[in-house]
Amino acid sequence: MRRVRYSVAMSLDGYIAGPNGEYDWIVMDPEIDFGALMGSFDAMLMGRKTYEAAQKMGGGPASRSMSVHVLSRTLRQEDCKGVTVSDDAKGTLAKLKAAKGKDIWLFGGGGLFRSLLELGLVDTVEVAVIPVVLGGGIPFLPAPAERAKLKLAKHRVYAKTGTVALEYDVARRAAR
Amino acid sequence: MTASVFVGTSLDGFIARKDGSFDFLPDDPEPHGFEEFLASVDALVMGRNTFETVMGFDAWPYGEKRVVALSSRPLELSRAKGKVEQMAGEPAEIVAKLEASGARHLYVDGGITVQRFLRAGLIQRLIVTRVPVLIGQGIPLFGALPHDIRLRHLATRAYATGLVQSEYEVVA
Repeated sequence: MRRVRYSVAMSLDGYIAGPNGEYDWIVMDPEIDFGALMGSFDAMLMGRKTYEAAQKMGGGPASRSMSVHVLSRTLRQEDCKGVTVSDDAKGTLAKLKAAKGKDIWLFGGGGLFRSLLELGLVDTVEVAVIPVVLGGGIPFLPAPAERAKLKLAKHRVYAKTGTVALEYDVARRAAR
Repeated sequence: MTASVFVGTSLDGFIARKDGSFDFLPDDPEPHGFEEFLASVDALVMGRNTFETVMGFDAWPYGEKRVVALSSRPLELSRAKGKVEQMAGEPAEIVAKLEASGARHLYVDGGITVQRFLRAGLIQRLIVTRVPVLIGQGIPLFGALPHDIRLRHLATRAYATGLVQSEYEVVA
């Protein structure tokens, strides 16, 4: 079964971007195999704000080998070329998970992560902790969110940059 | 003088719930170096909130270690039985006073106190232990800061229950 994986870089104090969306503090460790990481996905999920930020920066990390799904109540499909727009997170995820394929990258942002976490639709949380304290910004998981238990699956230190990669499985809850 | 922070946090970066409770921390955490850390410090420096929380514990967790509680208002110290002294003032004054009295390694604790010392550039080492849980809201790890603080990663250890502890030094 395809997994939904929230894979992000985070500051030590729990932010995925600075107060104005800055990501200049994210250092790319040369030993992280981004090709392999990207190659483990063939679909990408993002919220409106993340999509709009990616558009401003020239399209974001998507490639031809990845289908992009934007979850938004306000965007219209005809305005967004090359991506699939939907306001139905549950339906989109059900369809994606039923289809065969590689894993699904929950690209962000935190608001979409929160919604999908509440629906019990996130399988793993993969955080690259960057050695910096930002003191404010866009939170990894915006408040208020439900409590979720995690199970540490893996950890690895990338010594060149001091990045600590943590991988957790989200504990399954009883169906509601 | 070296000042260190030793703190537990949820993966999403909270040290406590909004009401100050820590019920998301394991009841009986496996040993993760706290005793060894405590043995390495000459004094603990904590704010009034943390002091009052600790006073509510059944047992005093710091043995005979020198404890400095920061407050500009009088504190009820009688129950602390002489282990606690009160100080007030700016972080730099507190550090200078403790240094003059022979302290070489401080353990700075409590959300607001850690934030004040970080802002003043008076923290050199951070030891952060992540608990495998998301709590969604609470008291943030360090709070607002006027600028980014760059860190150098020193070591990371994982424990059987899924705690991951990372040690950093502040890059001056």
